[in-house]
Amino acid sequence: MVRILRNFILAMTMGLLLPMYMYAQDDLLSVVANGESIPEVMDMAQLRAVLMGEKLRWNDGTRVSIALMKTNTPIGSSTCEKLYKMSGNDLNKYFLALVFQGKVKAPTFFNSTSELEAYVAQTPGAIGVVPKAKDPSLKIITVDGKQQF
Amino acid sequence: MILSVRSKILLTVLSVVMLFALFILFYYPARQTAYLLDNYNNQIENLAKTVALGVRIALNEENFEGVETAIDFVRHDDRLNYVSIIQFDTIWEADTKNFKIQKKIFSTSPENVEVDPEAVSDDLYINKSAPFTSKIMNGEIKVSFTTTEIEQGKRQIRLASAAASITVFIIGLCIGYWLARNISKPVLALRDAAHKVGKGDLTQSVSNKSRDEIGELSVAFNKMVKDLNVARSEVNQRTHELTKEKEKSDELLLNILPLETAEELKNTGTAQAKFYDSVTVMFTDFKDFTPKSKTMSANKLVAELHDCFSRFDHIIKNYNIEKIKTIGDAYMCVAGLPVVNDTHPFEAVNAAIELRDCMLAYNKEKEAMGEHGFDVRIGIHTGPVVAGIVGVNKFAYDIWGETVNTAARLEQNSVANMINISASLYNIIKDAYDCELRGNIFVKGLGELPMYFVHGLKK
Repeated sequence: MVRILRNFILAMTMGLLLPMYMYAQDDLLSVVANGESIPEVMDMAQLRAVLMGEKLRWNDGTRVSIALMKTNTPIGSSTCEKLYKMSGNDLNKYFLALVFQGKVKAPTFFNSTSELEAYVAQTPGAIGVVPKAKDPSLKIITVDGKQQF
Repeated sequence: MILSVRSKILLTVLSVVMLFALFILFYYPARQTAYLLDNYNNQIENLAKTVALGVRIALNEENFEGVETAIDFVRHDDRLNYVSIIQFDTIWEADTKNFKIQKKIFSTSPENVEVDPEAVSDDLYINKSAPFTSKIMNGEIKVSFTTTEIEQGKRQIRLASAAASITVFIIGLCIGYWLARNISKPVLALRDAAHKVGKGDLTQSVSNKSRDEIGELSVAFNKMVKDLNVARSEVNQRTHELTKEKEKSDELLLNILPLETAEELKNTGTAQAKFYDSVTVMFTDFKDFTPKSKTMSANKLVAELHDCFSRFDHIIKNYNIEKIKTIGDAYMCVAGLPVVNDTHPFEAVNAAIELRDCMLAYNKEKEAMGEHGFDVRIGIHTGPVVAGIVGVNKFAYDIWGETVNTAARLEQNSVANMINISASLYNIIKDAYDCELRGNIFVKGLGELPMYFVHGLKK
């Protein structure tokens, strides 16, 4: 009986942790965007400049709207590490400082990728970071020749 | 310093208005300024709290919309000096038991402003702080606004207060003047009317249709003047009547007393007897009066005497001769008193001549009517007398002395229609009158006296 109970608990724990483990193992990121003037191909430096708020408007004048997963999500955490090279807290403080001085519009943070993709799909000039684009209407940006990195 | 009613009313109203104006000028701005400052402080504090809430939400929930909205709102405020995020860092000491909070500027807008985390409000800036806490960072939002707007607000309040104060003062002045004029005008009219009434003009009337106390006073004043007018008319009528009565009594008094003696008697209540060293006393008498009186009725007799003596009265009055009295058919008068003069002998003789001629004419009138007249005998003497009043009832002015007796004797020794005078009188008038010596005639009590007839003026 005890064995059965122990096996059940183990199975439940594995069931909960396995997907996270699999996400962590498979933390590739894709950049999706909504806008004709948004270049389909960028190098990492260009992408970082856009995501850091250094570019405020696209070539057609559309305002750059950044969409990110919340930093406490795996994708958000991965985004901070790979693209921003800083922790989630530092990212928030970074944008707080810029927003406070009126230099940029802060990114919009989401709890789920579907929400993020929906936002990007509805917002011209929006650019977001997702694990893998599911919405075919979104433009997938190739970064350093890769659509996932 | 005597103030008029108008000035007093005006000063009273102006005092109240001045107090109100001062209240508007000083107290009201002070209150408004305090209210403005309070509002300003609250407003800045609320802004700081709003930004702090936005920061807390941004850091805790990664939602920057709130802080973006709040900071945009603050940043676009013209009064902003700076808005800053002050980060609190806990610095532990080496023993790990004590720590201190270090305040560090995290971000400031505008960037170039130097921020003192410990700065407090002063005359130039109002600084307000609102703390925030988050899982990432603790700290406070410090908002600094200039006081320029407050100073402008104060200036505007002062200007508005001054304008309101001046307006209130001017309006108060106008109201005060209007009140003073409306109240004082009827009062002054009453005063002027009262002055005129005091000077005797009882035709005065004050017109005031108001129903207040002044209106009632005007009505009372008009009634008083009307009553005074009626009273004065009555007094005038009584005075007129009294004057007439007085004139009658004076006339009556003058009929029995000389003017000077009557005046003395009225003024002092008595008249002193006076000695006159030279007067001319005249007596007249009707010859055979007693037998004739028995032939006529008493009324007729009195009427005849009244007629004759009335003529005598008129004659002697023209010569300033004082009638003393009549005794039966005798008529006694004296010249030279009470006003002393040097012409009394002549006046007495002239009057005697006119009396005689008057009686001669009278007798002719009587004869023409078939009646008998009266033959007058006249005696005149000049000498000293004492004149005065005797008695307290029915008093009469009279003269005493030897001269009076002598004059009476001269009349008794005269003849019908002749003027018999004494030697003393003769010596005075002899040059002017045609006189005839009768010789020495014995007079009872006086012995022999030289007597003269006066016929008339010398031609």
